Amino acid sequence: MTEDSRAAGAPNSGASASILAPPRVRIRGLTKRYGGILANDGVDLEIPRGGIHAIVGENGAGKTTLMRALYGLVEPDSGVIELDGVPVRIATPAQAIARGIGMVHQRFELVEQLSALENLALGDLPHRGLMFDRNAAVVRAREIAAQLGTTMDWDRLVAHLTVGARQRLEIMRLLYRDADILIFDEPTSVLTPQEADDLFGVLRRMAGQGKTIIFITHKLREVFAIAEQVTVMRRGRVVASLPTKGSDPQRLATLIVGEQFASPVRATTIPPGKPVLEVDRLSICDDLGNLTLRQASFSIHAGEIVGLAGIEGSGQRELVEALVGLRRPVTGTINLRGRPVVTASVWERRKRGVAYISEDRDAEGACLPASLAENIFSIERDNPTLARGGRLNLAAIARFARSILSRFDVRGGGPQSPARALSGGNLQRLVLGREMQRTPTLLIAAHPTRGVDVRGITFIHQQLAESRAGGAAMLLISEELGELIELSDRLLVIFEGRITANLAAGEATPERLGLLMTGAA
Amino acid sequence: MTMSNRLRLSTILPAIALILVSCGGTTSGGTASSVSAATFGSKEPSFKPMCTPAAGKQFKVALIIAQGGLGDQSYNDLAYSGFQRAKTDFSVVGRVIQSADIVSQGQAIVQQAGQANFDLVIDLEFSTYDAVKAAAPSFPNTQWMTPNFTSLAANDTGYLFNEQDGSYLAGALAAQVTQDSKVPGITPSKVIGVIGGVKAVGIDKFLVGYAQGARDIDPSVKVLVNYSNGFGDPAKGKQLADAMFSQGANVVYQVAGGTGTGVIQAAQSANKYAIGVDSDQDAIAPGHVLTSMIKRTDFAVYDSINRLACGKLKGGETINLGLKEGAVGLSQMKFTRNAIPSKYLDKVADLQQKIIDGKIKVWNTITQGTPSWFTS
Amino acid sequence: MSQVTAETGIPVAGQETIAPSRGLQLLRPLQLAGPFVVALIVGAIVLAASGRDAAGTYWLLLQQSLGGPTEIANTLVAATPVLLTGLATAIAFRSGMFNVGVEGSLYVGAFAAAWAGFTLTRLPGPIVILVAVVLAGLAGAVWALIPGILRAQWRVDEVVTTLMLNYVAILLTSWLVNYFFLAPDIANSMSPLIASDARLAPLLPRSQLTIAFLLALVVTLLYAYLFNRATIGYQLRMTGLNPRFARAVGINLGRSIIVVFLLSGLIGGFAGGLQILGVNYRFIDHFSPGYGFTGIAVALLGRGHPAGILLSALFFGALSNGGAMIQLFSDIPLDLINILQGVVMIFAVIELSRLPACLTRCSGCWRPPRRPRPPSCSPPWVAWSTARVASSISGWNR
Repeated sequence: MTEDSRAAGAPNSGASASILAPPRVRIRGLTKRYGGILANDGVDLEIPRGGIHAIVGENGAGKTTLMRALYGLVEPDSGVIELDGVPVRIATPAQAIARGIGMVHQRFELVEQLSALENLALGDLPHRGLMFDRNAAVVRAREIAAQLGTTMDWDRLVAHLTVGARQRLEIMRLLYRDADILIFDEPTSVLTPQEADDLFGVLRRMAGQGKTIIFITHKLREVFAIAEQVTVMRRGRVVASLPTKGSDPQRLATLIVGEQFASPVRATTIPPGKPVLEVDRLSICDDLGNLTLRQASFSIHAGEIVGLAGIEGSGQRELVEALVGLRRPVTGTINLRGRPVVTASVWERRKRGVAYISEDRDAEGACLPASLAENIFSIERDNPTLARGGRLNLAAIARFARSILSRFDVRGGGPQSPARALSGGNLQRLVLGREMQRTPTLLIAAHPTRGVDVRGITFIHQQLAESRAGGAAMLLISEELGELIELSDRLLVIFEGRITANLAAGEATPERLGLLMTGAA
Repeated sequence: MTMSNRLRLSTILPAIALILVSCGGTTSGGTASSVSAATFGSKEPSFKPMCTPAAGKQFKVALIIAQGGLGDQSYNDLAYSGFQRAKTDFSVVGRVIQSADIVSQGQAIVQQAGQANFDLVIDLEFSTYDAVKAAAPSFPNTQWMTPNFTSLAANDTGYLFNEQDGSYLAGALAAQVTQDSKVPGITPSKVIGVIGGVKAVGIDKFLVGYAQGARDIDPSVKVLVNYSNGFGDPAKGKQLADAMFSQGANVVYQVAGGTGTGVIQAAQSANKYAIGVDSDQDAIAPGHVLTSMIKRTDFAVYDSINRLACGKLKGGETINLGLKEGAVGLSQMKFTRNAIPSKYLDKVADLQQKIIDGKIKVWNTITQGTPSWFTS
Repeated sequence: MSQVTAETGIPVAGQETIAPSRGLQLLRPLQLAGPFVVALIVGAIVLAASGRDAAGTYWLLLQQSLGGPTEIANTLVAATPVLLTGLATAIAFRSGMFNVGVEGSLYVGAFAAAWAGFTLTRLPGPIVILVAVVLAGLAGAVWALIPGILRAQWRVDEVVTTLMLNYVAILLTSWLVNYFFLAPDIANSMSPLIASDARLAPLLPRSQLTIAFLLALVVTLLYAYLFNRATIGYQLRMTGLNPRFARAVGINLGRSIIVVFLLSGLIGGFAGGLQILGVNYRFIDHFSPGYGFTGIAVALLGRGHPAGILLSALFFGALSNGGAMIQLFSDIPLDLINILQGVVMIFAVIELSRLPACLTRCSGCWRPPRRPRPPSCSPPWVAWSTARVASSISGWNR
């Protein structure tokens, strides 16, 4: 498949760039390693002058790292960046800006206490003597706005601007600094659909003026809406670069998720037991008050693993937090074995058999400065052999911890070692062991194998399967589609906060999931 | 915080650190004191050795600084200057003891000072006087000195100030000035005011003296009286003073520590007069502080060391300091003197002499209670 | 390793941690002693610069703070309030709550105890003492409950509320004593004396060493028990180390916050009440030189460990007592003692142990900016600098 896509998407094949002129941006063999993880693995990329070039891929595919390298925020370990055929070294954003490269980040870099005009001019103030030449700035600002075909309330404080206006202001800042390569990192993620449409208009106009636009996204709809050329990245590598004309979302989705090894359809003949978890029309807001989960309804039965597939940020996190009791839903009900728990505390739910493997092991799943024993004891506070009458039995806790450590083969420390001392895989075994040993009735497992080595992954899969065999209901969230398909009896797909599909194990293929996850089907 | 705290604790505390000792344990009248050149406002207390100190003998003297610490530009600093003066005049090994936690450490410091065989311990911190009373008998070789308080033990000398006498002069001056349109800012009236920090005999001592002085000038002069119920609230002081000015008062006397700075501010903005207390406050708002009723703690400190060096500090007695010694009195009026007709000043000087001579007795609320004619 | 210790407190002996390198082990006592050594050196330089005999001064200081039974008693008396406020602060800090409002609890506690002492004069002494201590604790706890509820219910930042409530407490008690409970015929801002048999009896004649100090020791033991042996203490500790983790394992953060503030305020109230019953015998307006703020330094210097807190409280007590008494025998100004105290505090908080690590990290190749640390780990200097600002405002170390 990889060779196939390479062939199909030979770099630049469909672009309209002159053969004579070198590409505006050429990246060759760029590699960036964070610790043991290859964020960019020998990336080659060519972007012709003018037009809109999309870069797509799953979270963690290396898109942002690549663009940060181009913008001087990341120093690559190896590789060459050429602008117009000339190799350049870009070590800082200032150097990038000097070479006409600008980047609009997901988080805007504006000073809220200053006006739009002041933000625009910040960093390159027109001046007469020592005084800020406001009139010159205004003239320039009007020019830029006209160029983009939009308006701006220049005297308004940025704090009082809408998100869309702020983004336009960021773009104008780049133009003010004479950028002609503009990088957008998932620009629509913060916008309303109307604002996104406005943005697309602006982008098209700039492209028409000869600017080179690089557009990072994971929404295929957007790719086909505005980009002429698209580069697909997966696991730090470029897997394809092809014109959007003549391609289709399905093909792109397959490229994004990659060819998944064919998973033997498991004999999921265990008859589903009673429903353990019933979720009905659940809507949840995130911390910023945006409705991130809308009217989700599903159920999980005893002895059933339900996988949840979706691009990260589609509402999975909020759903998980609502199920565990960390987040109060706006509307909807959650029933655990027939009893409503939507208002129950985390501890009440845990006592009713809910177990939780957090996606953020270091910050939520474990307490790094605390000892392994303390980490294990954390959900055993009601265990009378470990704590009675408000008093800890330290010896019993240490014994208990030791037994878990050996049962789940946690290596790298004893009960009194700080959790910080463990490697990621061992820490995950600890978390798994802690949660499993209570034989949960409902296990919420968010990315249980993230950052775990192969040996650990196998072990964790075994544990999950055993738990299922023991009658536990399980919600499994993973970015590894292969893992989801292999383990799940049923698969839910979540896209932009809605559960858009409910597939039986046999119906799910990576291709199909990829389309559903990106909203292309 | 620092400001109000300091103003409160150091300026006013000593000024009124008085306790009612109605049981007449007081030996009235200062024993010594020589000069009595009774020109008002110019009299300096006599910082002179009362004997030729015997050579060779060194005296160990400790000075316990009150809450607020050195640098308060008031009580502590004034006492300290008297201490320094005595150190130059006499053969004294002087130790100054400060503590941020003087309130809690007071008893321990008093005990340790006794243990350390000092000849004289001067304790400025009122809250430790219980401790002094308890400790003094155990250290008979040490003399103790407690300003603004009566004698606590056979080896303790109390020093009291006749603040009522100085206040009397302030009242007499105010009652005259308020009726004279030739004095800048005066809208002639027969009204003056006084603001006390709290209603307590130690404060009423000032207030009654002031009212009596005004009464003796002109019984028809009305004295407005109010209390700020606190010593650290300039805003309250300003508010009360403004009310008095709007009722026709031309002069308001403040006996309220930090609250009083508000009274002075009010006088300045109303183009009227305030009268300061304790230290010379004339310069706070030049031209708007008519005068200040000064109390010379430095003299009390000097006097105790003077007596010690001359073998005259016997203990068990309370020394009253007044106009005669120059230990209380009105300020020099550096900024207002020229604006005030001299006949008024002469009158005040005359009254001062009469008090010194015993021809006028000023009411003392500490020993006499509140007079029937005084209404607050 | 040192980081772990800094955050969890000194680990229990005999645990099977991965052994730190030998070099680090040797450094450890040095690191703990560091602040004191540096302070003494700086003090010596100041002394020498002002033409004084440093060694002689230190010897005198030692004599006056620990040189005999009376001196030791005075040091213990001076250490008692800061030991209690240190514990009150440490309970909150270890639970992730930057309660810098112990001073406020101390004031209301002191006032409550004084009120009981001068009002319930007909009751027998021991009963008055009991009532006064209980009232003091309750008053302190209720006072701390205000920021606790604000934090638990509406996530109002407790540093701001507790700091500001200090002034409210100081001014409230000032108002009460000036307007309603002024001692008769005294114009100073102080309440009447408490009944004489409500005073705590001295353990050593002519000193003010009372059972207040022993009670403070008991509270120290209870503190150790709380964080090492009690389930609730475990929950508080996890809340302090990582609130997200604590929430995810079902610890009720809101309840933890309330418990923390109640305990912290309770101990703060005791500190004030015992000071009245054992030392001052009446409520005096603005009586505290900042015991609550010194408590912050004590808690930080003691690294949250009970023995560390006890030792640093004794250190501050010795410095305060010795610093006052030394003036009877030499002309050392109090300012020098303040310099010593200040230097100790600065170096206590800098955490010398982290300095080399930081230096090596900062050299070397460029790395991406570090992720902001979770709130549990917000550096102690935040609280410390706040406290420092607060103390300079209130002028406790003038």
